[in-house]
Amino acid sequence: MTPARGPHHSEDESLQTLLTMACEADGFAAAAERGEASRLGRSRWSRFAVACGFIGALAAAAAIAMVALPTLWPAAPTPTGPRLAMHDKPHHPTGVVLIPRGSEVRPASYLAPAGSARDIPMPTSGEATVLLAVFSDEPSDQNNDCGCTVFSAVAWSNDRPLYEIGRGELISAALARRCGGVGELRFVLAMQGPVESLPANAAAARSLIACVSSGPDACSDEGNCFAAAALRCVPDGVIVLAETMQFASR
Amino acid sequence: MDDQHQQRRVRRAIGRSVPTLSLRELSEAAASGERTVFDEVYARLDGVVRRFMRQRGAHASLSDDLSQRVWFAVWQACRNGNYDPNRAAISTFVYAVASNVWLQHLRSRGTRDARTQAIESIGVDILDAERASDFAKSAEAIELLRRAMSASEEGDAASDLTERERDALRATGEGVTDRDLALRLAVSPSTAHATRKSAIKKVGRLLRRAGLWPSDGDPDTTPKNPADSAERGGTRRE
Repeated sequence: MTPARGPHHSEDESLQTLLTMACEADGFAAAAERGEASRLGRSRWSRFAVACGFIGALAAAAAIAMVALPTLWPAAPTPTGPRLAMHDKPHHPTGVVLIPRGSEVRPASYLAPAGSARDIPMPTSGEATVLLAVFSDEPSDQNNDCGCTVFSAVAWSNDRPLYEIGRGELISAALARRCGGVGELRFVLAMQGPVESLPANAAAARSLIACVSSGPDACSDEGNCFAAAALRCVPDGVIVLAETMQFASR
Repeated sequence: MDDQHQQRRVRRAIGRSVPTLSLRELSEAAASGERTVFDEVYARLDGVVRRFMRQRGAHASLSDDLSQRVWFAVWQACRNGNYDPNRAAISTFVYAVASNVWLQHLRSRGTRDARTQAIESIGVDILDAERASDFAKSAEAIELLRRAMSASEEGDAASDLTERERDALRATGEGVTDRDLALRLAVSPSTAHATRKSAIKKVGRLLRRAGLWPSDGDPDTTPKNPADSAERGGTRRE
């Protein structure tokens, strides 16, 4: 069969797309391997649990002790969520930037739009796409709560829908909005859907981050994990893309 | 034939029970068309297939429909001997089927995207992409690229790629720009661009040699006969 090509479509572009697909296929293999590991893990755990059933009794005793101890000693102060202060994004009509308390409000210049995604005012009706990128100050600290979160409504070049946006493109869009050009990207979420289903302000963005981070299994470096966690936190009909900066593992 | 009987048969054939098979072993076993092996492939990958559809914008019921089409096609291919584990890992095969089913869905709605062009470049007609041979062809091309991007010696020998070119290929697959690639490779953007071009040229040659890319007239990259591709075989990567 003669390949059907548009006049502006080069072989290089097709090869690049096939390479993207090969990377995605890697993701399928990784997921299947994880499934294999969890099955083997479950099976080994079952055998272990049968052999060491008495450990359950010990665990129950420990749990009772943990409940009882705080009544005997005063509770230590506990963190009350991320130490984030909210500032309106300077000179920007819609977005907000969350900056660690005590830090200066950074100039708006770092919010220069990425090549393929430009910041737009949040539409009042219809569909919209929002970008939510979470950075931490310490590269090695995944639970760092002193990072910053960038949130804004975006439009992709050529008005492309979210499902046509590649991994690198999403990461580039996040990095272009990196707070003051520093910080390690923990993850970036892009969500497309009806305006009323998307986070529209800083408080909603903060709630979404808390929801994504509070799933049964904490996500560390897997974009799909963050996407799955985010899907649980948004209404039906919202498309979610999520990525992290873990190049080496892929 | 009941499930337990099949389980025993597979266990006798491969010496282990199905749930303990590695993905590589599962790929080989899947070609047997055994239902229990297919069930295991389904159990491990169905969630990924559904997520694939959802991430492309399919709502829940559409995602269900398309996933069913994917698994029906995979089952047919395994059962009819159209899945060859030497050409592609089972995960790559499922991915290729899912991609083709999604692109076909887009075409049925009058939409084309870059992936449609890319798949058609390897000689697959998306409108008629439910043919088992087309799934196999897509899977083989994608598997070849996966192998080329991998760091194995086998990948090096097949594609003649340098370490840096492999990094560039992977970055290209991830959509990284020349500027970011330059940072990653610690070279200038123009060097990064040249490395990327050279790597893409080499994988193009690799696909041509396998008969999966239109010939450029170069005798070194044109298969001598159509059987070349079939004989090439090779080991797939998991």
